[in-house]
Amino acid sequence: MTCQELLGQLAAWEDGVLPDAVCDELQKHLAECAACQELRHDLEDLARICRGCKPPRLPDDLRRRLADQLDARTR
Amino acid sequence: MSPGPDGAAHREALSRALVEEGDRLYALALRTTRDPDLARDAVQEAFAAALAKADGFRGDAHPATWLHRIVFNKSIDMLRRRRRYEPLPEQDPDQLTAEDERLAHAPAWARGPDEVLVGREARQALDQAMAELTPLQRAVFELREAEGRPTDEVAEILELSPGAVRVHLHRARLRLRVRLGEHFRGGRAHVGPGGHP
Repeated sequence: MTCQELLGQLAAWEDGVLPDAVCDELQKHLAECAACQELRHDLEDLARICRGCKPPRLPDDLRRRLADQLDARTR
Repeated sequence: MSPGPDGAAHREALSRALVEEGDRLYALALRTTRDPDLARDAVQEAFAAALAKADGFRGDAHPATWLHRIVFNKSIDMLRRRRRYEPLPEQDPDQLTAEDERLAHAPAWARGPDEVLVGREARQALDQAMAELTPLQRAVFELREAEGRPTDEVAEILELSPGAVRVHLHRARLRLRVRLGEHFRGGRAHVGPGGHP
């Protein structure tokens, strides 16, 4: 497996949808390729930074307005 | 005229979705448009559209999934209406390109002292870097990476194939890695579990 092939399969690997043989090749490449290890390491940290972000909240006034609209249609 | 049983059940499902998914619906709109005013308009129009269709809803999709799809489409409509210069979803190739391969060869994040650039600064840098993505990439990143939804569910919301979702996610990650790499140059942020030092 080449670096380019690994790139194309990385997200599918995370999703667990690749055949065992491809997973084995991917893991073998990762174990031997410093550049792909660094890429994966960076992407893992990117995901952690992302999960550390405070999710935005629906503004309270908009939430109330939408709830009122739903109530009005239900009555 | 009183609502039929299907319509009443649907409105109840919408009310539940507002309570349970309101923040995430707004997050999707905000991430896609990067504009709080447009995001508000997109969510409001999405609920209006969902209500208008309530009597005709037959439960082909989970209401929350259906609402997310409407919010995304309304967000794109908002960008089109405001004539923002943003590549629209149909302009995003759903195969990996030579540009993606080039991005993958960007330098790895600098390995510096662990205490550098944690927390708020890293999150602000991520938010700024999101501007480099297309609206579709931002939506995929929000749903898959930030919210952790399964690829199949993201595909259903955005009406893409699972393979296309993976391509857009990968492309978004590569672009963000490059931009954050520039930010972190000179010192690598040490990121602990949950993004906290």
